[in-house]
Amino acid sequence: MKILLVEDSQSDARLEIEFLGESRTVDFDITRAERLHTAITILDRSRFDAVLLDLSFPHTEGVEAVARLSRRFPNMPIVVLTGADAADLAIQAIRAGAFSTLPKAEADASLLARVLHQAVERERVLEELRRKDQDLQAANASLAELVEKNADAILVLDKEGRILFANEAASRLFGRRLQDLLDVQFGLPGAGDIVTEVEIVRPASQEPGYAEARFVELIWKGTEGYLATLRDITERRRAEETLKTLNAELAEAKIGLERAVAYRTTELEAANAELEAFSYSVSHDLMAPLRSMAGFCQALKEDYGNALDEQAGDYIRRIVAASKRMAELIDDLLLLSRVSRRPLDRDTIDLSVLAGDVLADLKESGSGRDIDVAIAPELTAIGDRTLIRTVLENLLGNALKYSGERSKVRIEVGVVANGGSPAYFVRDNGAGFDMAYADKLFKPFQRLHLESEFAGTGIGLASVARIVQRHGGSVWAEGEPDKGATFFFTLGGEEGR
Amino acid sequence: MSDARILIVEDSSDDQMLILRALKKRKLHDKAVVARGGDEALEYLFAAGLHDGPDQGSPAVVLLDVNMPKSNGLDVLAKIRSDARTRHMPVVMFTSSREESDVVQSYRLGASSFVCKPFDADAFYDAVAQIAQYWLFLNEPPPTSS
Ligand SMILES: Nc1ncnc2c1ncn2[C@@H]1O[C@H](COP(=O)(O)OP(=O)(O)OP(=O)(O)O)[C@@H](O)[C@H]1O
Ligand SMILES: [Mg+2]
Repeated sequence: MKILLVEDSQSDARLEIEFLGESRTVDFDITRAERLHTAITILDRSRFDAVLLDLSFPHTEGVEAVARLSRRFPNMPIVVLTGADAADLAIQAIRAGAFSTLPKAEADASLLARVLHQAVERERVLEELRRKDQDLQAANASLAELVEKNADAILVLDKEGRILFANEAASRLFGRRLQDLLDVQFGLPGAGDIVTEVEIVRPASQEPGYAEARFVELIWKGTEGYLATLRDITERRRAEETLKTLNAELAEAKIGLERAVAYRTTELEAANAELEAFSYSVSHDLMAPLRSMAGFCQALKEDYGNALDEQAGDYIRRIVAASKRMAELIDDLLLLSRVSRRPLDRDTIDLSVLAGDVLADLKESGSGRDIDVAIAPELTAIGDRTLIRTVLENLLGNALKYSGERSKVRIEVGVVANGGSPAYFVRDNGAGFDMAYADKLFKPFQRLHLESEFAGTGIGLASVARIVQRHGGSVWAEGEPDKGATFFFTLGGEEGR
Repeated sequence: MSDARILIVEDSSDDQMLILRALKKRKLHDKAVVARGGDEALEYLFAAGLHDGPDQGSPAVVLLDVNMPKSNGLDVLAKIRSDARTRHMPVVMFTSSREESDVVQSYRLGASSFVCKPFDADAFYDAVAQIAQYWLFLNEPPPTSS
């Protein structure tokens, strides 16, 4: 414990230092100053726990010294030693700020130590109180700040609904000064922890608006009341209402759209039905006269064969052949239209097995050529079995047909990754084609080879394209003359639309 | 069974000729009765004024075209099947149509058979001849009292 001893008498000082040195309980570290002004210099420079001030000689400036010290060092405990019978001085010293006074004659070692100890201890307690008070004030200030800066209006109401407190936001919400809000009868539109809506007049526009309010019970300065928080939700309400009308309009638009779609669908169905009727009558109406032509040519040959020369016979043969070809074209057209009209019946298909079946059928009807077939196992797809079979019949049929001149024919069926949906392919090592005409392949009656090279009408790939499109997929081809061709197709996304 | 007849219902004169020509090749043309359309066929089958009863002119088989103006083949078939006198009469649909719906409809209405008119002339003759042979000579007709 650091003590500054202000003592002009050398001998007294020694005695007092000795006294304090005897203390068992406290370890005193004593510095001595002879005069007040040196004491002040020392105290300015370093920290002491207490000052022991000797005023035992009648001193003109005795009490003044105490006052000066305590003014300058307000938290410094000062213990004053007085002469005997100096009750007056003692009271004055206490008033000037001393902690305690002690007649010098009575100040024995233990008393002196005890008084100093008490002085220091008291100051410590005071210091702590001061700090706590500061903390408390800071906390209070923060709380008040929280309430003030809160964007929600905060009101404290008494049990009858009179306003006891309001924050800035409340003043803004109601458009009134704080002091004009106090004591106003606000009422209790709701209580408990439920949210209610109250109507307000918005100060800026003087138009009616809405606030969302919540009432919670609280004890305010010792009495029961309510804490109300309010928030202007006019804008939100307006936005919600706009959204509601928008949604309603959207729903209406949707209904309108659905109606339009339904209408267009019926129209489309009608058009389809018409098309169906058309192709149906085409089949009959075109076929019948053709058959007559062929039939009567035959009759002509049978009945008048002897009367006709070789040239005439040849003409008749040509008429028969031409009508036969036209019949094929009509048949193919009908096939294409049937492919387009048939409703899709989706199923999971084992393409590997299906391709094997189709190839077996095709090989049976074809020549017994040596064909090397490689079909990737477990190719599955989702689609209409009958139509997908038609696809494979055409692709594999073409692969066989257009590789007819090869001695060693190789046909491959497999799958490659192609974005989301797998692309199945049929590959051959046959005649191939020129990629420059690749886009013609899938158009009806478009052929890249001569009828004399390879027979056909050019409707197969058109049917394939139609079927694949109806499945939501696509078809394309790669080829090189005399090297072979590969035909790819997808059947829509893997979700198998 | 020598008086058994084959009723040819066909609106196209070409096809009538070709069918008759086919029958003639097998010397069966005298068995043929031709109705030049659905209405004429119905008259032949049901009109009391033209013949005494169903048994006299009752054909062993009707060779029925599908696409005809006014009463078409399916209409005629439906009437044949709904009349007690002709309910079991063999009816062979003979048409250019390969429409699935026609096939389905025909069988649903009770057709005995459905044959597509072949395009090739020889095949056409063959088809007509086979039908005639089968229904005139091979098939046991339904009892007339049915
Ligand atoms: N595997 C192939 N290799 C080479 N060319 C091909 C192959 N497949 C098709 N092509 C070409 O594409 C054309 C169109 O093929 P598509 O299958 O549509 O008709 P087609 O085979 O000529 O007749 P059909 O209607 O009888 O199938 C063919 O004429 C041929 O030139
Ligand atoms: Mg083809």
